[in-house]
Amino acid sequence: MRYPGASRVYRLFLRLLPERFRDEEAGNIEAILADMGARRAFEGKRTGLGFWLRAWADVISCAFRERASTRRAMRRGRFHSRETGSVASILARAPGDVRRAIRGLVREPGFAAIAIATLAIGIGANTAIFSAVNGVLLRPLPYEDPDNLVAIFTRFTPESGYDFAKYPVGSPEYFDYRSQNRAMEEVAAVSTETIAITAGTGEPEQVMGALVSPSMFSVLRASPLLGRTLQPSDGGAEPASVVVLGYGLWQRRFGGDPDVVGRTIALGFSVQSPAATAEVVGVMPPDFAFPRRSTELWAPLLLDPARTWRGGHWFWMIGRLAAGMDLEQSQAEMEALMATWAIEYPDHHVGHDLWMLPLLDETVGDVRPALLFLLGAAGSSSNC
Amino acid sequence: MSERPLKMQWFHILLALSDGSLHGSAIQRAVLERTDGVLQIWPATLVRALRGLDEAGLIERVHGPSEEPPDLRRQYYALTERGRDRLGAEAELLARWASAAAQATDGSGTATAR
Repeated sequence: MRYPGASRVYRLFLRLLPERFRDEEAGNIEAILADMGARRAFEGKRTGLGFWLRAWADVISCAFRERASTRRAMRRGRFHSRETGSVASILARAPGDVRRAIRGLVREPGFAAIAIATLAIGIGANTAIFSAVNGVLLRPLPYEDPDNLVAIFTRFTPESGYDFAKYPVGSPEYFDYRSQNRAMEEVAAVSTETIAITAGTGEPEQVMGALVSPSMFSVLRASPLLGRTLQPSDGGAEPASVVVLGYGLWQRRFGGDPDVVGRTIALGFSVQSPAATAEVVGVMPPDFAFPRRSTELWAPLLLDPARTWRGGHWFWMIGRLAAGMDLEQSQAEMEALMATWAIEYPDHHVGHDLWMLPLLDETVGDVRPALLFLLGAAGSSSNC
Repeated sequence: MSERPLKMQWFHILLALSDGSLHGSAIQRAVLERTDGVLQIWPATLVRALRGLDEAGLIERVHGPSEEPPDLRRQYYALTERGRDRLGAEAELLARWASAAAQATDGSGTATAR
């Protein structure tokens, strides 16, 4: 299990259950939970944080419901004729209820401690998760005019013989988009690659790199901390052996040494060649990471205009909308462009459509539901 | 017989036990499979529901198969006569409601939302 402490926390939450219930059933509950974990492992599913949050919530809500129903049953038995309902009678009862609650907490300090700890954890989790939601969902991308940035993919509708909702782009398409569309100020090709690095200090490691058209930096309007970013002459059919380092990688392997710019280092590209050397031309500032939070190295992607076969798709694109263009307008124009492909190259482009969305949605799309779920879970656990 | 329907979890637990006695984990899996993965009853909630059903006299605790090693022996549950009757009454009630709903939607029972 990926969360070794999680079952300890689970057992802690079991202590919230009324004593008799716990004594009689804790073993059964744990056995069922263990079976669930084993079954998930057998099915190849992870027992991740989501699983544990639901398991904890199950125990906590069960404890509260069980205690509430026990209290109801006791009250029905003891105070059968007691009137309920009117505001006055509720208010009249309130001091007694508070006293009873305090007496109950004093009598069961363990329950009180765990209830308070639950509240504390809930409030802490809320704060932590709200910061994450704030950072990822509410704060826009850390680039200039982020609203004008779009992510460009394609999709194959069943008409094409395939059915892919979101599919990469191919190199002839990239050149067509670049030369024939006016909706975008500029577009860039982006693909990710794991790259082995042995240079600098420390064990050789695999870092998350990106092979990109040099225009990626200008589309994002990102400037380097040191040296330069990739420039147009670095890309093309024979890309230059140059790399730009991310801030973290530069600190970690090169001790933040500014002289690393201009040095040639050894790299293992898993696709382009088994081992290569590349000149470090620049270092990016700490807040820059694209397309993923973990990307730490950028090198030019091979893009050969002479390569005209339209059947290969292996990267995606980003673009910056031209001044005065909105997403719908540019979408219409790009779709018109693709419609001409379907006529010109029916073998590859019939049933091949555009899939374009704001870059923020693409970047946070995968984590948005998870984050909102966590926020909801933390909210409900601290509000019990 | 009262017209108030059973809680959905109770109904599905009774249904799972209608073929014979099962332990908690097997009940949970049977309910999950019967509902095509929709109704996942988490352990504490399941055990609490089983206690409620036991107190209501609809199920009882029974011994599991004796070939289970003692340290792995689990609590098994079985329908009581009363539980079986209640499940039958529930089936009639639900069938009556379902047929009313089917009639209200052209009697096809497969009315689709547009």
